[in-house]
Amino acid sequence: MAASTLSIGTAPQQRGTLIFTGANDIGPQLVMTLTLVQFSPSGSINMIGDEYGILELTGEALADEDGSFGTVVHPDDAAATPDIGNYYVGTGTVTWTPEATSAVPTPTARDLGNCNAFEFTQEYELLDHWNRRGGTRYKDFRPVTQQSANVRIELDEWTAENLRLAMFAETAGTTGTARARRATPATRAA
Amino acid sequence: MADPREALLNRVVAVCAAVPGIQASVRNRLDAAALRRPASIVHDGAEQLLDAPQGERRSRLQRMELSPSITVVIRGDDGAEAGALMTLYRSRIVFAILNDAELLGLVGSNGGIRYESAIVALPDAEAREYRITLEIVFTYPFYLSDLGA
Repeated sequence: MAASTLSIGTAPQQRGTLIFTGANDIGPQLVMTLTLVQFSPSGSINMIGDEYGILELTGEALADEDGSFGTVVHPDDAAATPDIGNYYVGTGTVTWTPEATSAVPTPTARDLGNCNAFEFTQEYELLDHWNRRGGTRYKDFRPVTQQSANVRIELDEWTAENLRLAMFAETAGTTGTARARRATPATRAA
Repeated sequence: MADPREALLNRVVAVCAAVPGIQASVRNRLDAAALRRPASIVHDGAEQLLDAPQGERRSRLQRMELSPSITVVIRGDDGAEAGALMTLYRSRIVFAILNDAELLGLVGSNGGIRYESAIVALPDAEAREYRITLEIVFTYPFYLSDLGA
């Protein structure tokens, strides 16, 4: 066991694949794959407190060229309603695979440990069209002009790898500090 | 699946009986037969609603909390060793219950087992016996259909 020193903020691009795999007894065990998620700084990281500390991460799920943010798999396409077997209480595991790079070894899926929350939110922006041909205006068209998707997770386990993700960090000394990289002309040119 | 409440309580008694040093493990009794010591006495305790699906009006599915109490009765002389003995059996029983695969299977992935408290009762001066009561809470899915199984 050795200490790990992380250089905070030196890896601002945290992109990869986030997968939730349901392990619940109540309800169907869903598998959600968000193919490309880019995390952004979100909640504060509280180093002092009387509650269990969490590492909160929010990210945007980015769409592929077909406009899909990912997939969700239901284990039974024949599940009928009404049936209490369809009620759902979520629990499961979350894995993170950094975006494929030329890094060696190739990044592989990593279990993020106990996860208190995995929230997926879709947002649409609509452009209302109104028919004004009479005394009363009518909304007659409402196309979606843009859509996005967000994900929020809460991690319980303060491992070096999870801190690396939450603090957008790299191991100090392996790549130099962000300031050093910015000051290197070759890096800037690249 | 049979009634999970009954299955949980029966298993708790069995797990306590298998704890090294425990001479008798009984359920809902005032005392163990022949006053064997150390003894564990499991009282069923409360079963309470934790949560239910919104709009479910017939309790076909909900989550419950079962909180039996486990009292360990030991003998002591002048009481000097009683604290260490009660701690020993507290440790053994809590460890055994929280690691029992059958109990973990009964509560499932939407349930859980939580060690809640340990309370030492005032000893009875004449009996020279000491009691520690452990409260362990089991959260488990309640299916109405299990009651008819």
